[in-house]
Order: sequence, then structure tokens, then C-alpha cells
Amino acid sequence: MAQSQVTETTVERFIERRGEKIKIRKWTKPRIWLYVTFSVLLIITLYQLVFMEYSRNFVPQESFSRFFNDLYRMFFEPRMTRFNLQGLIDSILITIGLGILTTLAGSLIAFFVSLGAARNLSNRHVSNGIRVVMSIFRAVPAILWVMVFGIVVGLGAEAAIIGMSFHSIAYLVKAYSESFEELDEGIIEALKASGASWWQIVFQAVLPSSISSILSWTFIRFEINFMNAIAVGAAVGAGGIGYELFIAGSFYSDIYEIGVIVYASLITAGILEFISFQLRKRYIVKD
Amino acid sequence: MKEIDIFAKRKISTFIVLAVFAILYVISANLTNFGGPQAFVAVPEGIHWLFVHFVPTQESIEHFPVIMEDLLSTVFISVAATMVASVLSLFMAIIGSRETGLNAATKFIAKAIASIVRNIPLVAWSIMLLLSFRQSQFTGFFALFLTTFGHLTRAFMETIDNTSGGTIEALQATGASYFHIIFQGVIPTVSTQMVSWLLFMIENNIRDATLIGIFTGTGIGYRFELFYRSFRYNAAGLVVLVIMLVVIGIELLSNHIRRQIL
Amino acid sequence: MLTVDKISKVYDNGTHALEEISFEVKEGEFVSIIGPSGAGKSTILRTINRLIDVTGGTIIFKEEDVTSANKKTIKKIRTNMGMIFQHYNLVSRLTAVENVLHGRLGYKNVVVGSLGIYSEEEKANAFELLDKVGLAKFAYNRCDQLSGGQKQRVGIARALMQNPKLILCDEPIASLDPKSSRDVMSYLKQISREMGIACLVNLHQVEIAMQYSDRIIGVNSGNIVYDGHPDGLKREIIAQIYGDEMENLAI
Repeated sequence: MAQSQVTETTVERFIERRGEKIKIRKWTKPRIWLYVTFSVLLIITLYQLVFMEYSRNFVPQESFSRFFNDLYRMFFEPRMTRFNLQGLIDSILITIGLGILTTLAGSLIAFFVSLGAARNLSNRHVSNGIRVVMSIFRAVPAILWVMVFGIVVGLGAEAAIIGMSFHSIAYLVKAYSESFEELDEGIIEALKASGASWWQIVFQAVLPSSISSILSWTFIRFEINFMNAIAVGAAVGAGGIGYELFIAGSFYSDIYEIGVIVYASLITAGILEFISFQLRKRYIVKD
Repeated sequence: MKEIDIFAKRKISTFIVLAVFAILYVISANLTNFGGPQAFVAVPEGIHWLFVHFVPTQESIEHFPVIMEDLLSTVFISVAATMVASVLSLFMAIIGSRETGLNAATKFIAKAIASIVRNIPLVAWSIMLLLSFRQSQFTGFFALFLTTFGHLTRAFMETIDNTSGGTIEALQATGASYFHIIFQGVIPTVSTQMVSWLLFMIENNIRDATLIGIFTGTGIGYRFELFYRSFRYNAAGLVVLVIMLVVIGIELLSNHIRRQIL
Repeated sequence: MLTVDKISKVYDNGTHALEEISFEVKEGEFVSIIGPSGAGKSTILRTINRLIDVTGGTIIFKEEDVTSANKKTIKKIRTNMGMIFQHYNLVSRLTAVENVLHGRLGYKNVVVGSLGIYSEEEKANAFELLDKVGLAKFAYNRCDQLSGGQKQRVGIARALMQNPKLILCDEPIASLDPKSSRDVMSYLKQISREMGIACLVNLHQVEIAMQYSDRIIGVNSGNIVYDGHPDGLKREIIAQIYGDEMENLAI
């Protein structure tokens, strides 16, 4: 390096040192928060890894080799024993049905609620109040919603659908209200000025302008609800492919059949994701 | 003439949309043996149940310590699964992303593995893992680890590709090596976004952990089921209340953290 | 010092970006490349440090053949060439001085460089360079707290850290307001003159090019249309370079 020797007084006054060594970073607030957060998470992780509870008589080699074997059998040797293709498709349809009903209920209710949540259509207090309630809906895990309603209507399709609706509503209220908030203020102002009532504004201006984005979000939520329906079906026996998964696995320990079910749900999810990707591309990517 | 066409078109498309919804409803209701909209009358009843049972009673408070223990264990499992997954995900994302990937093969394999692991439902992983690892805390941990790995790999790849292109070019131009570029360029650039993803996955995992706890017989989900099946509804209500408060609390905390590290 | 000999570039999609371009750059020369967007200016710059490979022709830098060099040699060549970018390409979260020190990475081994370990001499040098571009008091600021002009000056300091013989500048002032633009160009010119470093600068603004350069190269559709002193850049020649875009030039 052809530069001058280590220090010149003009630059020296800007240099901060730790002892003899020049510092090149400083402990700013963001940096401290980053390191502290990361350290806390790291400590929790290490603690958990050390004190992890395994099953009784856990033999790592056995369990892991069984795991890898199962993995292989699941992907490469799927085989249906308890039902045929027709039965499989029926199950998938039931799960899809659960998803559809949840989404229909959710979107209908969410539409009206989100009118109150959108800041440009309602006042600040109502809007904030709704957001708080939606947070609460989301904070309770979906499965617990389902089980609570299972007490009231018995565990089955109704409980599953009602239970899953809560998260659907919370998600769609956020999505819908954000779409509404993106509306050009001018349209609403103009209609207000001409004396239109609030409901007229909603159905003549708000709804038509945001219908395509509403439909896209609704379909995306349906995708999510399909996956949830699998989980809920497995947990509370509400029927469909989730329930079959539970039976095949925990009842019959049949890894081959689990493979079939996994493929079936992968393929169905793939088809749904493809459709939703197309929808998102066409309607949600904003101009 | 034109005006009438627009209105007619609007009416027809509204009609079509409604008709589609109606048809979907009828078919689905049939398939699932859905009892019809009258089932929704249950909603007020259910909410009423919740309010009644949320109120901690003498009896349910007795269960408080054991509930907190389970909740803590569930939170710890979520954190641990997310952190361990993030290490592997970071590695996969670096070798598999468009900007930093080693070659076409690693890029394809990394994306494929992440995609498959991510798209297998968490429930499926849990049930499958029960066969090898039986009901234990580890089973839940491992299931969460797998799905988190799938999601984080894609998230990290996206972040790397979206934000580090320029930095990579600049460091290449100085003659820095691949590892220099990764450690001194890419990682500092994506670190904030990565921590944000971590917090997001931890939040999600705490909710998911409740669900799989039911299958793996551990954690707060299982505790809820125990109370539920033995009709100790006051205790069950307390569990729901506690979970709700913790989830909201963690959400607020992680939003605060996100704002601070920006 | 730099000889570009009949280089061509054809992209995979068939676009002919460069058609047998040749020119030379001498030590300490300040050369601007002007031309409409898509003319190939960025491509030319990136072939010189092989961020992009040429499909034909040779580039010789300080007697080393850039076009046929192996990976190790390319790294060595790049350490002698600095580069600054339109969007600065700094690491926003890191401090200005850390970004400047990145210029030394080409000289460090893998472990030491990856861990960000620099010698006291290197660090002091970084401060000197920041002072040279007038940013010593911002040394500890995170780069996302700096203005556009300041970021570009950090970029210049980073390039200087490499002790280069040539600095490639890809539209360095395209994202800056007029005052910052002149600041950056002044620093570049001053550094080029005082330290004997050649500069090859892509520019949109013909006026600025004429004001600061020793020589101007005009490029259009992958061909060199003019290569000479700024004084020779008459209106007709500018028209030839820019074609229809003339109205947008505000000369």
C-alpha cells in the first residue's frame, strides 16, 4: 500500500478505538437488539436440544433408520390397501367440500366485516376494534376452535367448518379491507357528494372495483382451508383425506397407504396452487 | 344501447357468480353431510361457552402450573425447531438460489427438496414420524423442523435473490472470493429480513405445535385434549385463554423486535 | 495499459450487443463512454473485468489477457480494477468504513476475509480514503443513512482501497441530483489526476462528459462512432451517436 503512515492528525479525530485497535462498527440500538434477540433464541434452542424428551427406550439408530426406510417406502412404494381409486377420490372430494364450505361461510361474513374494517369506509374506532377482534380469532389455534364447537354441535363436519371459519374470516377481513383501502378516494367522494347512501356506495362502487381481487384472495384462502381441512379431519375425525391419513397411520401403521395419501394431497394441492398462481398473476399484481 | 349492455352484463356476471357459489354449496354440503346453515346458530352458543369457561375458577387455577409448564415446552420446541431449521435452510438457500447457487444441479435439487418437504402437510409428517419415533416431544420437534425447513428455504432464497444482486456484483468486481462474498456481502444484507422470517415462523409454529401436540401426546395441545376428553371444560377453557394471551403477546413482542432491528 | 481489441458480444437470445469494438486506455486517462440506452455501454464495462464474457475478441490489461484468464488470474486482475455502480451496491446495514474495507477482500485469504478481520494499517488507510472523499466524519454511519451522493463517494473510496490502476464507472451519477453529480465527478477527476488512476466512465450526460474527460468514446448499437478529444465532439457527431434521442439530451 503506497499510502502514508498509520495516522494523520486530521483523520485521527474521527477514529474511535477500543484500546489500541481501531473500531470499524459501533454498537447501535438495532445491532444490540439483533444480537440480543438472536442470543436469547439460541439459548432457548440449546436448552431444548439438551433436555429434549424422547420416547421410552429410545434407540437413535433404530428410529432414524426406520424413519429413512419409511421415507423411502412412502415415496417410492405407495400402495392402497383399504380403498381403491374411487374411494380415494371420494375422500379428497369430502376434504375439498369442507374447504369450500369454510371458504363460502368465511368470505360471506368477512365481506361485511371488512366493510367496517376498511379505514376509508368506516371510522377509526370501529376499524381498530375489528382488527383487535380479528387478532383474537387468529390467536386461538384453529383446532381449538373446532374442538370448542365440537362441544356444542358434536364433533363432525359442522364443528370443523365453523371452527375453521374463524381463521378464514380473520385472514379474509385483512385481505378484503386492504383491497378496499386501495380504492381511489375520488370515487367514494364523488358518490357521497351526489347523495348516495353508504350501502349504495358499497354495492355500486366498492364491490365492482374490487371484485376481482376479492375473488382471487378467496381462492387463495380456499387453498389454505383445504390444507387445514386435512389437519382437522385427522385430529377430530371429520372425514375426508385427513381422517383417512389418521386411520392409515395411527391405526394401521400402514406407511404405504400414507404414501398414497401424501401423493394425493400433494397433487391436489399442486393443482390448487397452480390455479391460485394464475389468479394472483392476473388480478392481484397491481397495475 | 351501450349503457343497457353494461348493466345487463353486470347483472349476468353477478348472477353467474352467485349461481357458482350456490352450486358449490349444494355439492359440498351433500358431500360432507353438512347440516345446513342452521348449524351456524351454534356460533353464539359456542362463544357463550367460551366466555363462561374462560373465567378461571378455583378448580381450574389448580391446573395453572401444569398448563404453564406445557405451554413453555411448546414454545421452546417451536423456537428450537425454527432455529435448527434455519441453519439448514440458510445453507440450502445459499447453494440453491439464483444469485449465489453453485450450479444448475444444486439449484434444482435445493428447490425441489424444499418444495416437496414444504408441501407435505404438517399433519402427514407428524403421523408418519409417529411410526418411527412414537409419541414423544422429539416427534413434534422433528415434524415442525421439517415443515419449517421447507418454508424457510424458499423464503431465504427469495430474500437472497431479491436483495443481494448488486452487492454480489460489486464484491466480485473487487476480486473477492465466493466465501468473502457470502459472508461479507450476502449475509449482512439479508440478516434483518431473515430474523423477521424467523420470528414469523416461530409465531406460526406455536400455533401449529398445539395441533400436533394432540398427535404426539405432548405439549399444550395434548393437555387441552386431556381436559377436553375428561369433560373438565373449565380447565380446557383456561388452556384456550392462556394460549390466546401467549400468542398475542408473542406477536406484539416480535413486532416490536422487528421495528427495533430495522 | 488497457487494450480492447475487436470484442463482440452476442447474448443467448440473439441480441448483438457489441460489434468488434476496439479502443485503448492509457495510464491516468479519464475516458467517458457516451451513447443512448441499450447501446452497449454497460456491456463494454463488464467485459473488461469479465463480469460478462465476450463472444469474440481480446482484452489486455497490464499485459495480462483478461479474456482467456483462468479463475485465479481473473481475481488477481479484478483486484487491480475498481468499479462503481449506478445504484452504489453497498451493504446498507454496514458502516461506511466497513464497506470501504471490502475493497481489500481481493487481497485476503478465504478465512480471514470471510470473518472480516483487517489489519490496523488497512483500517487506518480506509479512514484516509474516506477523508479523501470528504466523508471521514460519516465513517461510523450505516450506509442506509447516507444520501445518494455520499453513498457513491463511499463506493469510490471502496474502489480506491484496492489500489487500482483503473476504475470502471457504470453510470455513476445517473441516480444523483445535479449538485451531487458534480461533486462525484469532481472527486473522480481529482483522484484520477492526483493518483494517476485511469477512469472509464459511462455517462448519459454529454455535457458532463465533455467537461471532465480527456477523451470521449461515443457508442451506438454496439459500434464505436467516435473516439477522440471532447473538442472534436461537434453537434453532427452527437446526432450520429444518439440518433432520435437527441431531443432528450438538453445540450
